[in-house]
Amino acid sequence: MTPSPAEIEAQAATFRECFGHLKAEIGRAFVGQQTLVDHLLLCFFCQGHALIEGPPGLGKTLLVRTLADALSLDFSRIQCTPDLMPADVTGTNVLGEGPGGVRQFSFQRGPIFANIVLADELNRATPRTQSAFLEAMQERHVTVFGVTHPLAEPFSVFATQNPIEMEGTYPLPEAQLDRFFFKLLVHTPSVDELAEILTRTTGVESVRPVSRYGAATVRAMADLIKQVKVAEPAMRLVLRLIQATHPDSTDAPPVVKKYVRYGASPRAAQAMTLAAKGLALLAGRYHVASDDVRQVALPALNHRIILGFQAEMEQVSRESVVRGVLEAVSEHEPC
Amino acid sequence: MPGEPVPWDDSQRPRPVTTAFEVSGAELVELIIRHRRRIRLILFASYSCTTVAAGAIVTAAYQFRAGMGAGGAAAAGGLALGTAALLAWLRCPTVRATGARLDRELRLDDRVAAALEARDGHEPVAPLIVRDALLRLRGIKPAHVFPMKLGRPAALAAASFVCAALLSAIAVPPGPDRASAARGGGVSSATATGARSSAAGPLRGRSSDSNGERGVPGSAQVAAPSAAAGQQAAPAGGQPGTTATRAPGAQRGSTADSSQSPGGTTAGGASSGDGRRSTNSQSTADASGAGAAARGTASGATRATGAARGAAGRSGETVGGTAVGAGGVQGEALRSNAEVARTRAGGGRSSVTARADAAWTGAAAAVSSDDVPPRRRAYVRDYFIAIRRPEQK
Repeated sequence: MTPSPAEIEAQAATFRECFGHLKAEIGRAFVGQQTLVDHLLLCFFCQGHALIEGPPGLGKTLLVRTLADALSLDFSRIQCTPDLMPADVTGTNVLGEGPGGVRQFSFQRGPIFANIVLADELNRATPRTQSAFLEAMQERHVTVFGVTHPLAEPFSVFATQNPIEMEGTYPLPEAQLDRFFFKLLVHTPSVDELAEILTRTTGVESVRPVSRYGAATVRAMADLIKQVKVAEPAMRLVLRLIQATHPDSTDAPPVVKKYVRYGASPRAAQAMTLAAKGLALLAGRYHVASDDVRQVALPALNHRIILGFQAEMEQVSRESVVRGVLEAVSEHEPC
Repeated sequence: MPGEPVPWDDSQRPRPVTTAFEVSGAELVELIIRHRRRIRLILFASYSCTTVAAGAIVTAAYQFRAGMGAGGAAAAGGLALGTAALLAWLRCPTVRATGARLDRELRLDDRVAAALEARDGHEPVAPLIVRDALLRLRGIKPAHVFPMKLGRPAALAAASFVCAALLSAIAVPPGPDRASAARGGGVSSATATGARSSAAGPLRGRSSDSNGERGVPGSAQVAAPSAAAGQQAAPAGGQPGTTATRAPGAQRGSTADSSQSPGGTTAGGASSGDGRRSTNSQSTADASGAGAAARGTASGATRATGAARGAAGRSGETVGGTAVGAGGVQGEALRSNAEVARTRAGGGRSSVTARADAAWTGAAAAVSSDDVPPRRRAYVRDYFIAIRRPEQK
């Protein structure tokens, strides 16, 4: 049923309120990193998956757990190791005794059957196990012994990886990287933030997030975000940004032509558009502005661009390439 | 769902913000069209500056050369304004482009562009988007968004008008003889000196005529035939068999018709300049036209004398006068071609004859003037007697 404009307005107000509430609750447990929190929430409300990258001990796991607690959602954590099997993720059929003593196989759900799944250090799992996440992340269901099991709604996978320790890791393949809505970087906190972290974590008091919204709210918000209009200027900006990341494109800036091997996929455009819609709702608009697109371009693009050898040699980061693309692509199409 | 304290239900919703006014896509378009009209007006003003400036320059140049009445100037102005209006109409942005410009100018975050797209659609958020845009656009005056700034075009127009005014200030009031002289003498920009002289010379003579001053204008009148003589009848001046080497324009001409050159010798410049042999009427036309050119060099009796010297073929005496005369001859050659064509077509003979008669009368008056030294007066008189037409003999 199509909601009326008044209903949409009410939902939008709830969305802003919910977003603010979650941000405040997470802020009580997780110090600083406002941009990271904003992007994480945006990604979750858009029902995307996020890859969180940062050195150990910066609170990546705490952040995701706090989000789940603040929404009272099912949360499961998978610590990825090289001996982790796909069945450990998706679940498997186990032989059990049914009613009347009849032995039969029953499906034992794995940790992937949760609203929020934290795949800690995903790059330590073998490629086989990593691929077990693929179907779940994209199709939102898992197939075990030929039987398809739908996942819970809402469903988001938040994977973390450590950029420092690369020994014994299996770098995520591009196909899997592309399935992540955002790649979020956790930066080292400042001195003030560190002091605040110490105060909060070494005292007697433990922070417990207050939950006011649940899964239904998240589902409604995800539907509401899709209602937001994308006007032609914003859509063209998205397309030009995507096009500019391809080195063989005529619109590609020199930094892309020099350092990029493969550009962003159409999933990047989808991610940017959806996230921009969420930002527009937060700003009280029902249409996407070009500025919304620019704000979400970096987390949506920086893991979808594959750099070439020249970039590795000169130690050029993906972020700098994306920033170069953003600078090169003007907001308004040349007349 | 476990652990969900407050599900999503109607009681949780905040009060809907009702739209206090009717949301109308037509109103939005009307608002944008107002801004579009403003843009068109600015475009028209900008283009007007440019086209009117160009028109003023062209008109002044034409006025300088051939003279133009008030009607012509008004027509040029009208044409310039019409062109500006056409350009403004063609280059005026569409409603959608105007919306995009409004978004940029007012920093509306693509509100207007989105509303224009949404008003035709059936999305549930369309009324909200249109309302949002209307809220932003209402009460905004187009003049505030698009102020009339014509810095560069206005400066261009001002500079052009100054140039045009300067040109007009030194230009001659329009007159039939000047117009014909300009048509004949000053066409080629390459012979700018000659052309300007041919225009400026008659100016002084003719204005003196109109003022009733007989002394000075008489000299100008004399200059015409005498210069003609410089081209056509150099042998008659007493140096038969010589070539007017100082007049390159004249030298390009072929040998003059022997019937027109009593000396029967080579004369430069009398022919039309394209190598054809001059006919009788051509020579007459050349004579008067070259006289117009020579008038540029002749100011008063002295110039007439200089021209007469050129007429006698003694080009070595007055280098400047001969050179200018040569430029004039070039221009005259062009005119001669045109007149030859007209003559061949049967029309224009009477005008040529009339001009020759007028030149003759002027020359006679000049010869009788006391300003001319007696020796030169006799010289010119002999020359005109030598070149007079059979019916005048």
